[in-house]
Amino acid sequence: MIPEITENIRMQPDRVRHFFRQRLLAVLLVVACAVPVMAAPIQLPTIVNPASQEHHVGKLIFVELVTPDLTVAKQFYAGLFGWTFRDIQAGRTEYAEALLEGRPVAGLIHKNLPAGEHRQPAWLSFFAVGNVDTAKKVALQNGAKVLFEPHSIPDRGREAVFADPQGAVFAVLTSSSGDPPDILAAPGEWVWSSLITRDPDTSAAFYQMLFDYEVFELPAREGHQHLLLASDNHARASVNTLPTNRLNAHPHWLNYIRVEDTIKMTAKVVALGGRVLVEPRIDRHGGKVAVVADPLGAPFGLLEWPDTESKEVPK
Amino acid sequence: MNKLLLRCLGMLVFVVLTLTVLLSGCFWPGGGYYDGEDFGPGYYEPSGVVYGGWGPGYHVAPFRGGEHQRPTSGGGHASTRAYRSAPASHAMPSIPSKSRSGGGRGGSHGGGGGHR
Repeated sequence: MIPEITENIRMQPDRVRHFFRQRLLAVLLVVACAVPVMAAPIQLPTIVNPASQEHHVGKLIFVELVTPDLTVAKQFYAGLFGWTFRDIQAGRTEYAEALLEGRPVAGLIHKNLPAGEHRQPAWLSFFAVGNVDTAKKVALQNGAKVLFEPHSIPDRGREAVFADPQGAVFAVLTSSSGDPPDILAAPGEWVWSSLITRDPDTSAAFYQMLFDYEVFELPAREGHQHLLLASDNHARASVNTLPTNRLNAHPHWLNYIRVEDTIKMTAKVVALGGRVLVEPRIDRHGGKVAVVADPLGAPFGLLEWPDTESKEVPK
Repeated sequence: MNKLLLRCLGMLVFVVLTLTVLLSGCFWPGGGYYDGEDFGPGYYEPSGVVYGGWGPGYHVAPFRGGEHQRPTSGGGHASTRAYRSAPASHAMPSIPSKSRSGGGRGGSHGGGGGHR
């Protein structure tokens, strides 16, 4: 068989040349088509649609969940808040844009949990900044660490991920579509954030340096601090003392979704496969607050914030 | 036959060089959003996190409604705090109160101060 082929090649050099040319041309064509696709920058949806001209430094403007099971996560949040999802293939990564009545509310990223590393899924808070690179400089000067270097994403903007001096992880974002307006969140949207940390005093100073917050002190029980961070004359977040009676507790940001009935929603969380981490309890504003986790373990808060104007304040 | 071999070799070198140049653009550190096969932020939170310990009086939410009394320790004057307290003339704000359709409902922030 082999001598036969060799004989053919020897006898028909033109045909062989033609054959190789065709193959090489095909390879070149494939490469020419594939490379631009592989090299194309990742494109993610805008966080504000339609784009706005608003900028609110220090405001929580976006949240992203990194999860090992996108299908389970989508089912859970769809069932709980009525979010819908738009799937986006970003390179080799599956990304889902979560929407509430057509408005972007979050991004969900599928990633396998790294073997051997004791990590868990979590919601990452993105705070608005005017300039990510300047924010990086200020953060580093004040003891933060960079976990993800500043990078630009077409349509999304420029972002970076930091760990504050006490280890709480957060992200900053200069949104290219502007920031969401300062309006009351609808049920199912993010309404509040808390930094739960070992030393609220120095944490507040760090974030004040970064976002130019006004810091207000709220009454708190003995041994605890409750600080309020504000910008543009709106409360943006609280800083709370990390309870010391829990092992494995570490400083972190916790974001809350507005609900109309915390008790009903915690029951729904359990029915959908999630867990209740802090049972519903009355908070300072008169509504109930709870902390829950989705079926993959990502914690988030539920905050009841009624539409009425009463000023019911618990003792 | 030698000519054919040379041509094939030339083409092969061309293809390899083209591939090297083009693919290096995709994986050059800092040149894109890729970090190998994934993109975007990763897992940062340690596992086994426990919640709780929020005893009575542990509050996380802001006040709702208008102005609220400020504790005497704050107020913008020199203190032992690491942060600068908001000026005493600034009322403590709450979350935005304007609804999507316009008009204020629900939250309402403290008026009379806090201008930046």
